[in-house]
Amino acid sequence: MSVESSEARPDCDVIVIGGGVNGTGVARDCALRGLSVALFERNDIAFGASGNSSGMIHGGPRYLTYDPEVTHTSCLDSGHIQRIAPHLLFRIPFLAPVYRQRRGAKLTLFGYDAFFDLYDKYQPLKRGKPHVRLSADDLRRLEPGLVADAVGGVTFDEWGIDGARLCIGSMVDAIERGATVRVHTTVSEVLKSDDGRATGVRWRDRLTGESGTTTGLVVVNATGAWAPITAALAGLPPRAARVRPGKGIHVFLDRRLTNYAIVASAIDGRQVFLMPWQNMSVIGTTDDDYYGDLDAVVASADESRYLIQAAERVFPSVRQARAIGTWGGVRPTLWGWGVNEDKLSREHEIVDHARHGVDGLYSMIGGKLASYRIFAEEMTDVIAARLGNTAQRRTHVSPLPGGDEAVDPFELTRGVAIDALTAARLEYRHGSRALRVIERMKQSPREARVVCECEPVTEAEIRYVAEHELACTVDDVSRRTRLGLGSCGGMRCALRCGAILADARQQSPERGRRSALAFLDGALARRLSIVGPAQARQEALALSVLRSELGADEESA
Amino acid sequence: MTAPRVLVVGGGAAGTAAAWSAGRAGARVTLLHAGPGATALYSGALDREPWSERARPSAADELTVAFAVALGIWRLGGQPARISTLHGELRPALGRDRALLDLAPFAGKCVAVADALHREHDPRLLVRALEASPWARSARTRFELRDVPGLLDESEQNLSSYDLAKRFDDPERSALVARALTAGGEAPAAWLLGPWLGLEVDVAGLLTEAVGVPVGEVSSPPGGAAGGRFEWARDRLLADQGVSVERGVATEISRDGAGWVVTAGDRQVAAERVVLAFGGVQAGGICLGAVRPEEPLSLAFRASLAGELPLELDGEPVDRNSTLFGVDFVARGVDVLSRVGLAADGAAVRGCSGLYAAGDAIAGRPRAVLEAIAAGIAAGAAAAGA
Ligand SMILES: Cc1cc2nc3c(=O)[nH]c(=O)nc-3n(C[C@H](O)[C@H](O)[C@H](O)COP(=O)(O)OP(=O)(O)OC[C@H]3O[C@@H](n4cnc5c(N)ncnc54)[C@H](O)[C@@H]3O)c2cc1C
Ligand SMILES: Cc1cc2nc3c(=O)[nH]c(=O)nc-3n(C[C@H](O)[C@H](O)[C@H](O)COP(=O)(O)OP(=O)(O)OC[C@H]3O[C@@H](n4cnc5c(N)ncnc54)[C@H](O)[C@@H]3O)c2cc1C
Repeated sequence: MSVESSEARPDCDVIVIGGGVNGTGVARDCALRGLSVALFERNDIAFGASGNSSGMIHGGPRYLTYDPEVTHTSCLDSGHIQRIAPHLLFRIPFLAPVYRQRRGAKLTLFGYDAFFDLYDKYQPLKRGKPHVRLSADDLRRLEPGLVADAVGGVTFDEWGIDGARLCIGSMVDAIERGATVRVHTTVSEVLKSDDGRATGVRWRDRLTGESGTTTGLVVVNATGAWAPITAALAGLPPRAARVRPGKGIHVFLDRRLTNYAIVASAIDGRQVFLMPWQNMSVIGTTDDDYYGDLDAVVASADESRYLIQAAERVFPSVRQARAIGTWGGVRPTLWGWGVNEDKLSREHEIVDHARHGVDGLYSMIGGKLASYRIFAEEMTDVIAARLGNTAQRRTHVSPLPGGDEAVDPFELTRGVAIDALTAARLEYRHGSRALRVIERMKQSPREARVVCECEPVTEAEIRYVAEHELACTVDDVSRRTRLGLGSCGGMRCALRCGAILADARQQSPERGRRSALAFLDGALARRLSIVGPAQARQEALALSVLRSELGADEESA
Repeated sequence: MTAPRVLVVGGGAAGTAAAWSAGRAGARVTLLHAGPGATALYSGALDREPWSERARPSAADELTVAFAVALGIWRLGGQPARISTLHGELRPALGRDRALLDLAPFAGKCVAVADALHREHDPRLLVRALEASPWARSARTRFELRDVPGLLDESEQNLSSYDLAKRFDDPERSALVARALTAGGEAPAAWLLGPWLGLEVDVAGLLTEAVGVPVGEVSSPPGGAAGGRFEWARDRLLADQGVSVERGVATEISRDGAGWVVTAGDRQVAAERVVLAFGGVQAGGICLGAVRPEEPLSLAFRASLAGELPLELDGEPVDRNSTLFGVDFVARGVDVLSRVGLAADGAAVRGCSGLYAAGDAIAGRPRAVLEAIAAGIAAGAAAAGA
């Protein structure tokens, strides 16, 4: 260690604030290099942008013309991520139709073709397929539901990921390599020595009220859109860690409408997409400056309608599907003055706050899901150099938990009472660690019971994520398993999940019930903006179910 | 004067009660319904309003009790019951589906919970919740998990409660269950089972007789056995009464001289009096948003928010949409769904002579089975009256 100190030994080498993709990524990289790490997450792992993104590990063709460096690093790292977490990635073939009513449609098509020729150069980095130019007939054959007046289009290839599972994977790996992770624990102050050096953090557990301090040699602010607020906790002016907060939302529909992801233009010319996701469809996304409460980001009715209308213009049957939910997050984009939201670069930056007078504190600003690994590696390089650590970089070769070997979902169903779909979803989320969940079912067959029918999620998986992935609330379980996010909105499973969770965590049934209600409240808040004629019936039903199960609200006398 | 022709739209608790009471008053009754509504999804508990521990105990009126007797599957009248919800809340209820176990008599006693796991019913967690419930604690009722081999076989775990209940209708099955419950150990004060004790057959009654102590179930999940029993009992009651029952979605209701004509598909049914008992939003009766016939979404009754029937929300008329997509729930709260409905003065739809309403279809009334029945009885009598 290069840092001499007459003080007592600190509790750990590195303190990470924030459990998004960047925070968990840094914690994992540090732990892999043998550093001792403590990570604090105010809400839950992947609560912020990382669990609410479009989940594309793309090379970002949209940056190609003005920021090809982003395209290159993203494509390169997409390849790495595929190697360390193969189970979490899925191919997303896109269709970009070109419509007749546009001026010079043929020219546009020609332009697309040339553009994707350029993008194709990066595709091998991420095992992507080269683009294909399509005729109007090709388009009709591939997606008969598209409006008919396209002159043609192109395909291009991207990869998708469940961002929350990616963060959980990094977190679990960090823990297994000795890191300490506290969720639902907010950092309330960055502690400093008399000479202004960052020495640790003061924290408070928001579920239990417990508080304390933890000391370390380096403090990393990896709090995404919260970064300026976190900087202020160290007595710095917020602009020392400035981000441009760009809110983005998605709407998801109750059925799978297409086989391909489809690019569409919104009313204002921005590009949005309609994408199949398991048995549902997703429409995304918006991008608007956001200065509201970062702990409570929900879609507004305007934003939801903007997306639905945009998708409807190219794929009319969107209107017949039932919108069953939304999710929203805030991008921590690098600050740029006066630029249209879409033109901001997604590149990242490490701010060394020594230059603001707080040595030992760093902020990670910007970045993308797709380039989290590189960003975390750059950050860890800085930390390692500072602490005199010379261990090898390994995050591009060392598999994430479950990514070490492929398992066959059909094999998983042997000897346990689950169906192939349940097994396939389990395998998607946990990779080879699905075997550990299956093992639970073999020990205790009752855990094979499916709790959430829409997704489907078993009791064994709920207990597994409570015991091994730090799930404390029904909301946390949902983030890790997608429980309660299907068409019934948790109406059938939330209370059941709460009871199982309370049992697994040895808490009172009442606690479990409250946790379920908090989840249902939150889920409802995320749905309110899309309650149309079809969803209204489901909401009315959910209200009745809750009332018959839990009774009417009793106002205190 | 000849008996009036009464058309009841809706086959839930309200519509069935309306048909029953109009028939008793001598009307010629037709009932048109579009399949399961809220009553077919209910839990098996009978309330006048959504339950709460604080609510003043009240008794069901005589006519409602008479309707329950005619329907033949409910226990109503006398002391309020104490039933277990699916998740182990011990809650009060004025009445209940007869298969639901009433725990009120078992203060200070031990109730056995059969340990048969089903995807919608986990007895172990149920016992934990029951024991922690304030009522059980103050009544000192204890719950004991008991193994009952062979109650469910493994392949039945993933059947819906409804389908499982159907299997219990088989007399051989219930005999088997009776034997399993009496097999070993000291007899408990009562047996609490999952919500599958028969659809058409009173399996709880048979088991109670065979076992010698009360045997009953927890309340049903949405769309479970309790709603299925209601539908079955309804069909029998209406058949006994000579009510003609038709299936179909009413899409229009218009004036026809002194009476009304209701359009359902390619059929038209004329009647002097019409009772609208088409339920609330969950039954599909009231459609939100403008009626756009070109869209399959609007299986809309004309009681749409944009339609002709007078709708009301919190005492105010609802005559137009606040947004293109319907009501703005971000601004108004999703709870409006349980308050919106037809504007009515008593049983009469406001401003429409010969048109009556009952149940969840009416604005601002508690959404509960006994309320729907009382309103149905009143509407049926009014429609049949001179
Ligand atoms: C709508 C949308 C779509 C996107 N689509 C893509 C995409 O397709 N591909 C892609 O590559 N990128 C995408 N992104 C960008 C990407 O999601 C983000 O850049 C990335 O997730 C940022 O990760 P992070 O860890 O820096 O921040 P976050 O994930 O926001 O994590 C910050 C965490 O810090 C915690 N925190 C805050 N304050 C404190 C405190 N005081 N103490 C402890 N913890 C604290 C928060 O609770 C939060 O969990 C998208 C973003 C959005 C919003
Ligand atoms: C899940 C759930 C649990 C509940 N639990 C309880 C409880 O524990 N205790 C309690 O007291 N209450 C409970 N309720 C409330 C109670 O079930 C309702 O208040 C009551 O059943 C309403 O009866 P109804 O006859 O007015 O409407 P419904 O039962 O909804 O009947 C409506 C009828 O109208 C028909 N219909 C609709 N539109 C048309 C059309 N266009 N043309 C023709 N027919 C049409 C439908 O097919 C249906 O037959 C619960 C409700 C639900 C949904």
